[in-house]
Amino acid sequence: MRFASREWVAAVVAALNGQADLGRALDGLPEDAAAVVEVDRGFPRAAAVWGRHRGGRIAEWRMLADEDDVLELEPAYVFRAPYRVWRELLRGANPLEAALSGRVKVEGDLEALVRRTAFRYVVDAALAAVPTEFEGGR
Amino acid sequence: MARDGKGMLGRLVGLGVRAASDAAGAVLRDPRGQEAVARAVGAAQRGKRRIEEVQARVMKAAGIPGRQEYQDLAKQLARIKRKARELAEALEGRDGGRGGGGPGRSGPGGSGPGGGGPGGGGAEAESDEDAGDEPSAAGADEPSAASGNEPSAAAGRPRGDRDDGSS
Repeated sequence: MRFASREWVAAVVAALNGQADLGRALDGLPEDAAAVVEVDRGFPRAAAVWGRHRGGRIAEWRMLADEDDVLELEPAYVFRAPYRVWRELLRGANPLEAALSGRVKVEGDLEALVRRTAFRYVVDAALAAVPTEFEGGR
Repeated sequence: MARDGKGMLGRLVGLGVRAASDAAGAVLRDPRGQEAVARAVGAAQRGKRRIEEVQARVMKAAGIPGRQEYQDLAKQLARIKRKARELAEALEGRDGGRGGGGPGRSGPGGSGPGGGGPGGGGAEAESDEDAGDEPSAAGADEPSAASGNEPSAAAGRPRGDRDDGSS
């Protein structure tokens, strides 16, 4: 599935919701977040997705037509990075290091995320369950 | 020569960043290190917020628009942009209807999960919960029109788009 496509996001959400420890990972976090894949070489149009968790699972999500819609939604967290950085993350780069180094711009309470670093395996397992294709096959 | 110097500086910076990153990685693998990093990050964020607050007060006193004003403006622009998009798509949908059927998009007045947005993305469900629990006043303008216990994604906020989805 093509990275950041609707099908891909749907599959990732389903895989996340299938993780037994997702509820524990999300417990205490603000309810909504958005992620923006910024325009980059080989990725000519930005992609943005918004989601909300409830009851220990991702209860609602949608792709946004325009990344600026995030400004209006004002989710508790916004994660922004160029396409190539997301690609690195999906290939195993450490997301926390990326956030701390500023390669991924995080708006929101980063402290709460750092405290949940131990739950990284939840996201890793979900992502590993979804076949991901990148633009140009790279 | 200058280029060599710059290259060397660049390499040194790169080495420094890598060393710092390696150190951070090592620290983060230890739970106590994680806690320390979390506290440091929290303190840094709070400090930054305080500086921004002071900066905002100073700028306000000087009559210069601050970060908050800029953010409010950006939010309003985003809203106008969304509304223009919704109108354009509604018009497109109407034209498509006259021409023997469009792509099945619902207009801004649509209702139900994912149905009220710019085209509604084919009006697919965006939630895996009961529709009655979801924002339903699509097409209304104000976020305060949210229904029930749904504080965000309120009516008038960006809806689905090119795609919506359900889990």
